[in-house]
Amino acid sequence: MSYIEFKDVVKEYKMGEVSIKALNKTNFEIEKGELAVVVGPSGAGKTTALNILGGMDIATKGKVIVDNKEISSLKEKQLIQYRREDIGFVFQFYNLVQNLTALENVELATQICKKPLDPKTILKKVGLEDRMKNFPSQLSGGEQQRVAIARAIAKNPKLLLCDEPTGALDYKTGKQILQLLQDTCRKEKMTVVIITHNQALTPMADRVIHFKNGTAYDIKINENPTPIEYIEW
Amino acid sequence: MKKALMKDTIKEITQNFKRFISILLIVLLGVGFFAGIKATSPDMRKTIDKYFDDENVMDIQVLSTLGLVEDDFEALENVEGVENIEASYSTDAIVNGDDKEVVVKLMSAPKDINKLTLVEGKLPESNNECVVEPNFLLGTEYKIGDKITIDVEDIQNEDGEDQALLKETEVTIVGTVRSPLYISSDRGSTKLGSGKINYYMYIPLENFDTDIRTEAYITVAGAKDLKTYNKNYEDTVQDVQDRIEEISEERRQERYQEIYDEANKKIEDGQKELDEQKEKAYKEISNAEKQIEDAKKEVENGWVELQNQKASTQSQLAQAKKQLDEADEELTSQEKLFEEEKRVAETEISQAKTQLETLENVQKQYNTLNATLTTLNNSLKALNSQLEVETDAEKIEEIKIQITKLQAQITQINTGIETIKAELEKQGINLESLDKTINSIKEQISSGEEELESAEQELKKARTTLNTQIKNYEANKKSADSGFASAEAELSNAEKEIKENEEKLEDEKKKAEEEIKKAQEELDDAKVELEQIEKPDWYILDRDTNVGYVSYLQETDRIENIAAVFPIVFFIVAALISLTSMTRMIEEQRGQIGTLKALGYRKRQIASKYIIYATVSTIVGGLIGMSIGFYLIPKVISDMYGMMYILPPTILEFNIEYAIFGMVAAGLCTIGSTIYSSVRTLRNTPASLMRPKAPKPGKRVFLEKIPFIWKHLNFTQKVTARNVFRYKKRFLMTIIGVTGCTSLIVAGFGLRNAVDSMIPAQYGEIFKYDIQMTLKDGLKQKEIQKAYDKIVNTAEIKNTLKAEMQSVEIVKNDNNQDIQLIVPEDISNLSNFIVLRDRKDKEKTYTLDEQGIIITEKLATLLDLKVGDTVTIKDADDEEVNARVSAITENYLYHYMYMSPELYKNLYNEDMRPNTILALTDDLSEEQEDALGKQILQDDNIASIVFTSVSEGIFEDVMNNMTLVVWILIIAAGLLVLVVLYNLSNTNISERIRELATIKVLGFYDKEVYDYVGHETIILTAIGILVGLIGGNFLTTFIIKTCELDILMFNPYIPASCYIYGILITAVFALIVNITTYFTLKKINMIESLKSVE
Repeated sequence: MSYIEFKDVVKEYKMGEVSIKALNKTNFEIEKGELAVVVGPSGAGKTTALNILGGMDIATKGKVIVDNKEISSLKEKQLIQYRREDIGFVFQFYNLVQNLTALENVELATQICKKPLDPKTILKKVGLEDRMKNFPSQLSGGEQQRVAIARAIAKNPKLLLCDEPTGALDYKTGKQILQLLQDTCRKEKMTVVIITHNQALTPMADRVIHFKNGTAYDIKINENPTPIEYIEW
Repeated sequence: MKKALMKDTIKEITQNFKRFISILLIVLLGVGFFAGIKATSPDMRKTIDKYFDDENVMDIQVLSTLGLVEDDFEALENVEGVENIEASYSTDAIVNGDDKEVVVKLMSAPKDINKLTLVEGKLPESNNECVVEPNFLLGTEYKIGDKITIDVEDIQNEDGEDQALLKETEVTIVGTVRSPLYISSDRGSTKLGSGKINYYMYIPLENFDTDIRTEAYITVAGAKDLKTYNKNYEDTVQDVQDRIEEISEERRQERYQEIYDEANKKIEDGQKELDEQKEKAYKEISNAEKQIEDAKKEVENGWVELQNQKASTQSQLAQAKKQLDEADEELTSQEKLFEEEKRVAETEISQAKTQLETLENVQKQYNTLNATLTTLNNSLKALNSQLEVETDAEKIEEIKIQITKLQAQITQINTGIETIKAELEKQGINLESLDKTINSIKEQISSGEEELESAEQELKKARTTLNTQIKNYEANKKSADSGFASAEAELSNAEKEIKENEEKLEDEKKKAEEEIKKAQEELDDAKVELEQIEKPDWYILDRDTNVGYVSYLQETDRIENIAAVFPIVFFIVAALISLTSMTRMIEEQRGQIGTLKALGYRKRQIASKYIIYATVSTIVGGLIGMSIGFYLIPKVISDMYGMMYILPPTILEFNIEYAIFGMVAAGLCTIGSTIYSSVRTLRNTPASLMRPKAPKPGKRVFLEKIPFIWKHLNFTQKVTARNVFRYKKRFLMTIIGVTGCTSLIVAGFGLRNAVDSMIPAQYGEIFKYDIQMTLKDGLKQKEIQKAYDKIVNTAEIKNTLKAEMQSVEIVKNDNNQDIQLIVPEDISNLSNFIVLRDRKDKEKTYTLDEQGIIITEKLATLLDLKVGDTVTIKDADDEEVNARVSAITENYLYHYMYMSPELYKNLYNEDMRPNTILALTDDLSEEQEDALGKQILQDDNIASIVFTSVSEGIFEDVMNNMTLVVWILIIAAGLLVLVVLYNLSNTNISERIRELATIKVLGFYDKEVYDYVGHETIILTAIGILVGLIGGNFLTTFIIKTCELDILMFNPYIPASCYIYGILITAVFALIVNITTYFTLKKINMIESLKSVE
């Protein structure tokens, strides 16, 4: 049994009389410690899948199992607990709390966890040793995303979910961020799922899940993922 | 507007309904409160204007110190601008009942001006009818149909004599009326009774038995069309007042002259009469004196005469006596002599008698011879004659024979005669003288006898005469003596009488002099008085001298003051709320705005959506608010004042002016802020609009600069601290909203406490007495003592205090506060009845002394008096004295002035006269009090009795009304805080939705999420409450200052409970909002919120 399992997951949005299936019997698996990349065009259902995986949304049908826990059947509070203990999120637009410094943004996450990592160490790791006391508005986009990643990692989650983490960044910074994510996966043995619409990124992943029309139609395993520095796009 | 845009706008309202409602609600509150409270004062003013117009209340009232007469009215009538004029008579009177005595304002029933509203019964038609105010019946237990007796002071008629003022003093109550002149409970003061007029009463003008009128009521042409409270009304009336002032000079002079002349003539007449009488009296007196003098002289003369007479009489008598004695002596000797002579004479007589007898015999013989001779001669003669003639010789011979015979006889006889002759010759007697001799003898005898006889007779006669004379003498003497005695007695009596008369005269004289002196004095007084007659003053008064009217208008001013402040709070909040709401709304729709702009819509078109949104909510909210506000608030407030003023129901109307003003103000707030934020947003390019707005950058707060504090804060606290200071607008608004809420609640409770505690403090702590009894006017010291003793001996009464109470004024500025002067007879006992103390330091009590007076706090505030100030006190007789204020005492109701009896004596030069008795009783039930009251009133000397418990009860209704006010304030406060906090919380959430979604994603539990923002709210609310407590303090003081009537002082002390209520109720409202916030937060959709901006 895989670390993460999506079994016939259906997500249906009802808009009055019309119902739209964002996910239509999606099935995929991800193993522990893997760096998975979910690719697909806009509206293919990747973000929905990620939201359900992250406990931010609930599947209409089907089973989602993470580390032997069936999260698709969790109650609201359990879901929060799941997010709190097991999940780290990284968004395209960083979603840092503007009113908090880099360090505080990380602390915001660590203070609610049982076994958090030291925020300062993490920030050092992400290369923001000198910017810890800066507010998000004083940081560049890449730095902000690094803070976001640091915040996600600091929780010491089972899963690190990243939704278009480089979407708002320039090439070089994006590469650095991806490098950071890859490093995190490798060094911290953390399971990382990255959503991207950029096909070019797929070589960096251990597992590539292709989405189209609400379904993971193709899953590929990279036996030898390419380090980021070798990937060009 | 394009159809699509229109649809969008409508959709916006339905979708953003919460926001729509919150704007609507705040506008409703703002406009409703504004409109209602603003309209209250005009509504109340209109009510009184209409009432006064309806009842044709006078615009000007003219009074004269000497009364008004027909000419005055004529003059007044001709003044330009005078529309109508009505004469009226009014005076103060006492109505005596079975056991009560009340002082009434007795007025002539008006015909056209100041019309009465009939409440019950009918208006008085005849002189023996009257109408009273409804309270009269409630207060005295009289009923319609009862007869009452009116006791008024006499007036002086034209001749200066006292005359009854009323034709009928016993009148029947035929109805109850309301007078527009008395809309408040104030009936004015009087010199009668307790100094306060209790009720008013109307009787027909005809019942006043005088031509003089005390007032002229005037309506001014065109004044009715104006509003009585407006400046132009005042100006119109003032013009007429000025014109009346112009004519008044002349009228005053004339009236003065009239009265002066009349009085002067009276005095002159009086003087003349007095002078005449004086003269007459003096004349009479002098006459009498003369008479007495004459009488005296007469008596004196009488004495002298009497003495003289007595002397002469006595000498006469003595002489007479002497004469009589002499006569007696002589007579006696004569008698003796006579006796001897008698004896001689008798002898002689008897001799003569014998001779005589002899002679007589001779004579007889002779006579017989002679006779025979004669006869013979005769016969011879006859025969000789016959012979001669006889021719017959025979006969001649015969005749010759006879002659010879005869001759022979003759010769014989002659011889006889010759013998006799011879014999007689012998004796010496001549024959021829025989007769003579005889006769002489005879004569001698008879004369001798006669002589004897007559001598004897004479003697006898003399004796008799003498005797008679003696008798007479004695009688004379007696009568003389008795005559003198009686004369003496008479004279003595006369003397006595004279003396008496003299005394009497002296008395009379004294009396007359006194009377004259008195009369003169009176006249002199009258003269002095005459000179003192002042030119009558005319008082040309307008409605501003009507206490009820003025204080009512003052109330409306007060409400206006409140109306000027309160709505501002609401409008500020409304402006801020709509600003934040609309700004937020526009912010939220940046993208859409950008799109529309990109599509080529013009700024105006885009903005119109939001403007319509704001306008609709404003108009709907405003209309609902006004329709509630215009009717509910004026009604509630004027109902409150209805307790104190008797007026028709308040006119509640939709005030277009305020409606427009309120709407415009609300519109400015909502639409203005909408335009402001939309313009600001629309300035951006479509491209930048379509990008999310750069979040507000984080900033360090000043707290971080104090590491000592910052270090000790935990992470959440730090976050909260930073957030609190991050959103300044929200920070301010929350504080303002909560401050307003807390202030209103504190003020509400504070106000209630102020009013609530006023009465218990006044009647429980300050006025400790249970009964106040007023004595009848003008009682003698003895009667007062009697009445007092009776009360002291009443079983239920524990302690008593006699005091003098009277209405006074303090002369300062235009002030005319009615003050009750209380002079306790026994200063040491006063504290058992009335506590004089400092309000702030209750332990600090004051004692009355000779140094000064103690006045009550509100009076001091109103007149701006401090301890040590000197005030001029004017009593009901306009007598003015100066006194120093020695202390200011706690007091909540009415104004009082306390004075020691010593000071009273110093000031007025007379002892205080108790007219009131204060008493403490055991705890009595209402029934017991009634019984006691009846029992006490049985004493005729007690005019009235007031139980403190009754006075206390009167205010209960006011209290209930205050509770209503508190509720209004609490509800308003609650609505305010709910709307504000709810709105802010919504804005807050919406503004920070990404942040909140993020922390939710991070795995914050619902409570933690709530805490994340809740702590801010709590802190802001706490700050708001704290500020609100201070604000509430100020607000309470402000409301108290503006609402308080002059005669009241609300207790300005705000107890802790008010603050606690303020905190708790605000907290409860805040909690309600926070609970909804909690659920709103719970429902935040993380995915939607974190969705990348398309």
